[in-house]
Amino acid sequence: MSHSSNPIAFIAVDPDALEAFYREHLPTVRRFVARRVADPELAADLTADIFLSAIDAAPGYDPSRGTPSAWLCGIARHVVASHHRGAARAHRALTREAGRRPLQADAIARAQERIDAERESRRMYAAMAGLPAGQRAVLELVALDGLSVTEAAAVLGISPVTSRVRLHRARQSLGSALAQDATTNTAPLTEVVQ
Amino acid sequence: MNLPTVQLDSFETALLQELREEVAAREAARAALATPRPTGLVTAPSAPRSRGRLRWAMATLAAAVVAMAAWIAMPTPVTAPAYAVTTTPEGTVKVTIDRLEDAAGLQRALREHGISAVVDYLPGGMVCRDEGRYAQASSDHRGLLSTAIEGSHLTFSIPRNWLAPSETLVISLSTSPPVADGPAAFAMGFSVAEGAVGQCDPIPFPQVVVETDH
Repeated sequence: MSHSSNPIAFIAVDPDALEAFYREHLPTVRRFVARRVADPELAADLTADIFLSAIDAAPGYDPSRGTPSAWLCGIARHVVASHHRGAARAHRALTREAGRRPLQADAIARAQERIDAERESRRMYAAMAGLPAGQRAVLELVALDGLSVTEAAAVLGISPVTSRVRLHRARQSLGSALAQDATTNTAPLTEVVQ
Repeated sequence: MNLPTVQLDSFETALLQELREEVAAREAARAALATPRPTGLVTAPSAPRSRGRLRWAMATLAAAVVAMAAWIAMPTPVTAPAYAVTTTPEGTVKVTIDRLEDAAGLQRALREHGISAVVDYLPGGMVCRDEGRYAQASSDHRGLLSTAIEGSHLTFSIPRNWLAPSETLVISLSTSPPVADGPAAFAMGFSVAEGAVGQCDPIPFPQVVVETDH
């Protein structure tokens, strides 16, 4: 794919393009991570991993399959899931070598603020752990990250119909209690599928 | 340049600087690879760096080398195919590699798609000795073979008529040398040979020597 049809491709070759992308999408990544992990230093590691993975994957970005933000959510989800499988230490050496650990006080404080604000989202995220992987993937992107069903389908490489079916099944699996409680910063699951 | 206004903390500022350096170093590495070397080893980034995944940049070969890269292996279901080869309507052959398994199968698949290729997968820290294995093609293939990392997959695309009838694409893929803290990584090298290609003689992964272009 040429750079002219893939604006994201430039982030892999042009530091200025990378910086613009970073500044534009950092808030998305901050929220994404804070909704999943409660440790500021792990959040920092994952943030670094997500942007490095985005640089890796940038040449393959296909604008027809969703916005850059949705695409980045797909990457972020993969990074976090890999971490939970204990298999994503690939970029960690880079993080340490750069002397970015331990975090300084200002970074810890701001990360902690975000983490505190996303407590309910993390509770929902934890509740998803028992779902089948396919259902969980759709539910995460839609209910936690605010993607549309169609965007989630594009990110995951499945059809919108399949995405909607999985979302419906995920909601059924989780039960009504969580759906009724999960209202902080995210759409209630009962609304997500309507 | 009007950058989005987002306030960065100390970590985010340091990360941004590091990411900028990473991208600049990769671009420098690509530029170095696009410069033919008269003999032997070593294409390496001219930018001052040696860390991260580029530490596995594969010290390699000579003028006929057309591309190389390193990527991180993400775990994928073992039931997924190790590779896939397709031909686009324009005649470009696209290869997707998920795992370093069944090199002979990939080689056959490439030939079925009209690409004369020799594929070798090697264990960690090893590469094929090129001296005496084949004659390097004299024609210039640089800049035509595109590679990319898409998620956990490595892909490369071979344009139609990219190889002359007498030429063979020589592909070697290797796991990285053992590294403490253990990320699984691979390095790949492409060359174009003129005429026959001999058996792979595995030798230890050469050291990358950083050169500065003047």
